[in-house]
Amino acid sequence: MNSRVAELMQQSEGRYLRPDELKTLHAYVEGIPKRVRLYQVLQAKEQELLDRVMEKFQPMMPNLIRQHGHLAWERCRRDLSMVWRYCCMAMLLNDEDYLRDKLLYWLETILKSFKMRDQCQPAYKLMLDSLTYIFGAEESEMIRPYLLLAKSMLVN
Amino acid sequence: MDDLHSWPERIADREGGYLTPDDLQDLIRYSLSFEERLELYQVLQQQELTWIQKVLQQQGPTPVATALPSSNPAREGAEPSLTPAQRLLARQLAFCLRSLGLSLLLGDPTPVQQVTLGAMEQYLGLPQALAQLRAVVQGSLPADQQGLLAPYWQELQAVCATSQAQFPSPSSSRSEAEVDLPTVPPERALTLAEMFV
Repeated sequence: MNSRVAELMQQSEGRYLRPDELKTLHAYVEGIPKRVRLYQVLQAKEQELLDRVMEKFQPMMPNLIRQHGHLAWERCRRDLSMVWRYCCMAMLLNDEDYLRDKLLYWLETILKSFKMRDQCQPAYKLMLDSLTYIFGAEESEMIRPYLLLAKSMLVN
Repeated sequence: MDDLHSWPERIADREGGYLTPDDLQDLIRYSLSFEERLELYQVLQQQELTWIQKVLQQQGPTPVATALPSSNPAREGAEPSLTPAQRLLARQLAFCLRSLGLSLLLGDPTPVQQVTLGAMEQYLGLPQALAQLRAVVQGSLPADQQGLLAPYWQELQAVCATSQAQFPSPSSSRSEAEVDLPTVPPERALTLAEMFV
């Protein structure tokens, strides 16, 4: 259930939904099977995507371990995986607010406070660039807006 | 579909991970059953007045049309012809039926779980009236629609049972929505000053 449907649920307590509200709900529900199918593909190929990103990102950051310790690459991959999974859930829910509220506002603060935004920037660009290598056009187009949102809030 | 898990809860449980294959199957099943749910939702909306009227008639012959909160402005402002207790009961029944409908439509038990039955509703005989309403509604629907609605009725009655444990009915055999006037005059209310002396 996305935030618009949750809002509908709260606002309609004690009454029946109006035709325009039913239309909103119908539009969301109608898209579920396609979103589930794409979500499964995005889930299945997460490792492949991250392998490609890390393979290209590591040579760009030769000093990362010296700067951030021996777990730096592990943490980097974990964070990218986390962003990817929240993006996938947001795509499934058709809900950018989910991504903002559950992850981005928090992670944005962390990256700012550790002054990591510039260092992380190439990783998000690599993720976006890798989409079409790993996924079909439909999957890429459906997930791209969420990755762009993440990139714009976290590293731009 | 396992209707008794709310979607916000399932999504919160999987935060930072992926929904399980079972969750995804449930989501698809919900989506595929939406037209059926919508159709039944509209039946509930159309039949609400008739069904609640039947329940109140089982409790004593009374017109109910003016008691329900309505989306029809023509009915608003009409002179009520029910006792205050019957009017409240009819409104509570409508509220429950609408929560039931919303749960059905969203495939999520949260709306019926949010129904709260306090001491007043117990006193009005709402749990008994709800059982009557369930019988009336289910008796009016074909088997497939009954099946679609059944999990939500169970959830609603579970909510009632929990509430009943918290607010035991003044008379367990009571089945009518009559409100008796107290025979002993209430004690005089304390003034604010008296309360804090």
